Amino acid sequence: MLEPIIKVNNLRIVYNEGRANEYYALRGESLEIFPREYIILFGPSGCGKSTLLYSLLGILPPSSGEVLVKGENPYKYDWRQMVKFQRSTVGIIYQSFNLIPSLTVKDNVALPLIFASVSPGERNKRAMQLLKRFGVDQHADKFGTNLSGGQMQRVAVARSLVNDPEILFADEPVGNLDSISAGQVMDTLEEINMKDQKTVILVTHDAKLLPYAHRVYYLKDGTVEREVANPEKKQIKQIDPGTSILSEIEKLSRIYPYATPQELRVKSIVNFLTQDIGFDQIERLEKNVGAFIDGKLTNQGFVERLAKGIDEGGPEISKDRAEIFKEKINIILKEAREIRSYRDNFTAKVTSPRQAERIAEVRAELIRECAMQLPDEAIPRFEELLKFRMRGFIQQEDFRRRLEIPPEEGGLGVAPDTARTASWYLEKLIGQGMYL
Amino acid sequence: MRAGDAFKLSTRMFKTNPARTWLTVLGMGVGTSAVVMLVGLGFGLQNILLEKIVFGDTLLSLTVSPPSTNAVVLDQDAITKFKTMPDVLDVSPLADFQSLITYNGLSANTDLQGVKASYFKYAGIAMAAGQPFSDDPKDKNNIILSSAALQLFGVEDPKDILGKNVSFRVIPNAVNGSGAQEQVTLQGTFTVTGVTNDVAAIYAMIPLDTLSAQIGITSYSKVQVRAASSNVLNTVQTAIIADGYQVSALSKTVEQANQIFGGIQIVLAGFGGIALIVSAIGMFNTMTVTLLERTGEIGVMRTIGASPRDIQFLFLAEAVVVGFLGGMTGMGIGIAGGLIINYALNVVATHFGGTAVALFAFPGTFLLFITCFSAVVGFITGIFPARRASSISPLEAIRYK
Repeated sequence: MLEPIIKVNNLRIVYNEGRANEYYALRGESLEIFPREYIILFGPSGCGKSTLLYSLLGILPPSSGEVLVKGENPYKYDWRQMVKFQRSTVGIIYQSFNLIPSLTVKDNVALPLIFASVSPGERNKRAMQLLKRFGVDQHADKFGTNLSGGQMQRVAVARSLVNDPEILFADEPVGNLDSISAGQVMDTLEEINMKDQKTVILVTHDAKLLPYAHRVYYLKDGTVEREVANPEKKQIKQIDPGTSILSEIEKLSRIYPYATPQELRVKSIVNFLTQDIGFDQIERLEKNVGAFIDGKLTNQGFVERLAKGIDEGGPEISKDRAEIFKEKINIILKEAREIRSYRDNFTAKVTSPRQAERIAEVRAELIRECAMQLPDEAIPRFEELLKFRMRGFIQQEDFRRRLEIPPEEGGLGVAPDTARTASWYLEKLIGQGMYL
Repeated sequence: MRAGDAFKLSTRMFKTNPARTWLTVLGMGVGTSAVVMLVGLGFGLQNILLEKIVFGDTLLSLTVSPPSTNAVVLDQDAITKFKTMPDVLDVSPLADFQSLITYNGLSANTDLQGVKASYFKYAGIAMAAGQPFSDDPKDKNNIILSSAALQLFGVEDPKDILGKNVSFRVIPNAVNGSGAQEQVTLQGTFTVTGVTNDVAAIYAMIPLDTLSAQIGITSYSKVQVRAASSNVLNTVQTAIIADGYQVSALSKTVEQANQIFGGIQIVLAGFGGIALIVSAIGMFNTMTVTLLERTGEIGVMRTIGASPRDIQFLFLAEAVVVGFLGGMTGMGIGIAGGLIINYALNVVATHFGGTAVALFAFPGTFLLFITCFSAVVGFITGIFPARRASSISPLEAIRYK
């Protein structure tokens, strides 16, 4: 039976206990982390995830309960044992990198060894090895502040590993980084977990990072709400068959990371009531629509992709339906472009006969899509109304109401449900046009 | 942590914040320089005094004079007795008479003192111009005047009277009961060969042999007794006092002068010390600000394996380095300032006919003391910030913004 490297029993941490500004950061949580696991403590800000991390690091004493690292309680250490713990058992990287600006990159990495009185030759060798491994050795003699964020974080990773600790803590390590640097740093951490076999404990509020972990602890308001094992990774923690089942709710939580289990249940039910395709399909469909509107897929390619079966990684949508989707998307994009051009010309104060044609184009599409029945003499008034909305003179609600109002009162006398559909569809087109 | 690394880490501020660090050093330097300059002035004044009055022989001489009761007299017997005392190297008497000195047709009262050449050394008489006479017979008509005596004749520059001739009429000690005062003209022409720097007493000095050849000397008014060494000075003094004479020793005066200057130096150092305290407070302030500024850094260091002692040590080392450099700077400023002031004063003094003097002195031991002292002041100002730095909770330090 594998022994956990970190064991937390009923950990309760209260800031300013007994005072008016008393704050419960953790409310008696228990968890176990096993050697070589990659754990993410996930939750919105203020959920207690960082509190838990710093408590495990040995610098935030529990109000009650117990933290055991390798079977020992770091809060019972004297300062010498504490220093030893920090030098040999744990390493940490921070969101803001926290390099010492007055030291060179090399000295920053070697700093833990400097405190441990390691000879300059040996520590420089070790520092350079790590810098080289993380691809920042060419900056070794620069000062930390002259590096990019991604480089700084890789230097910080090197620093955290220079003592060869067993556990690596990371507090929002990519929170300050652009997506490319973030990807590099996350891959580095994964490599440290897989290749160096270090236990990695990462704190984040970013759901994109969740697939990196073996297990994710979801925290909210100082409690661990649930623990989810990543089905894509071979688990280290032994899970007895039958004790855990990966349900739709777990999958949903990846799409809506901040939702509570209650909210996820509601979403699941509403999805069933309103849509005939499941979340899995929706997710894959979204991916393909994204590629299609970015122009990365041809019409033909799009249809074929949608038709791919679930087993092949597709959303499994029938060919006929996929054709309809394709048509509708093309129309939406076309109309969105018309609206965009109309607005661009309008704001640039360009007058052109094409402007009227664009209004007519959108009008025709609305009438077609929503099957509106309009007498010919109402057409100019409808176009006038469209112009107002597209120029932003009236709101969606005004537009819908004026469609409904009887002709004798200056409206168009459209049936209420048709008016709602038409204004809803128009808003979609305008919205698409704005973000083309 | 290794000493070299500690030094490297605790001198980072010269790179990261050179302006502020050097200003702190300068602040300490100015404070220290006040101490250096003022105490240096004390040493200088002391040296001037001692240089003027102290010669080796002078310090080892006792001035013996008869008691005011005249119970015992300083006559030839007494001198012989002193000479035969153990530990007495030499005896040099002074016989003096009231006399009239005539120069350039002007006459004035003066004290005529007959002495041997050795008296000059033993009494510590310094010359403003010319040379004292020797015991050689060719010098028998050479005389010495005090600077004060020159004023009788309106002579400004002592050099002007050198080589000039004067004559004396001596009024020998009144024989008891006779009441009559006879004047005896000293035979011979006397040439002034030297002028002492004494501006208070009016006297002329003549070789004792010349004087005794013409006037009967029954007693002496002073005798300089040269002791063999400073160790026996007190023994000799006690022995002579036991015979009923009054004894004063210049070494006592020097001792007293040293005591007084010790006091003066303490006062001067006190004034300088105030400046130093002000700069130490400034440095303390800077160290505290530095602490606040580095709070985050301290937290990071604590989480990557620095012990509280490492942190404390770094802060203390930094304070000592700044204090030490402050001391060095202060010495530079103080010595340079002293020398500049001295130079300026000497230019003025020599312009108005005075003599150039070294008003400031900086003994090596004193400078060594200042070096250590400034490092200690740095250390003391660093104690509180260092202790605080080492006791900050790492978590609070990390979260400190």
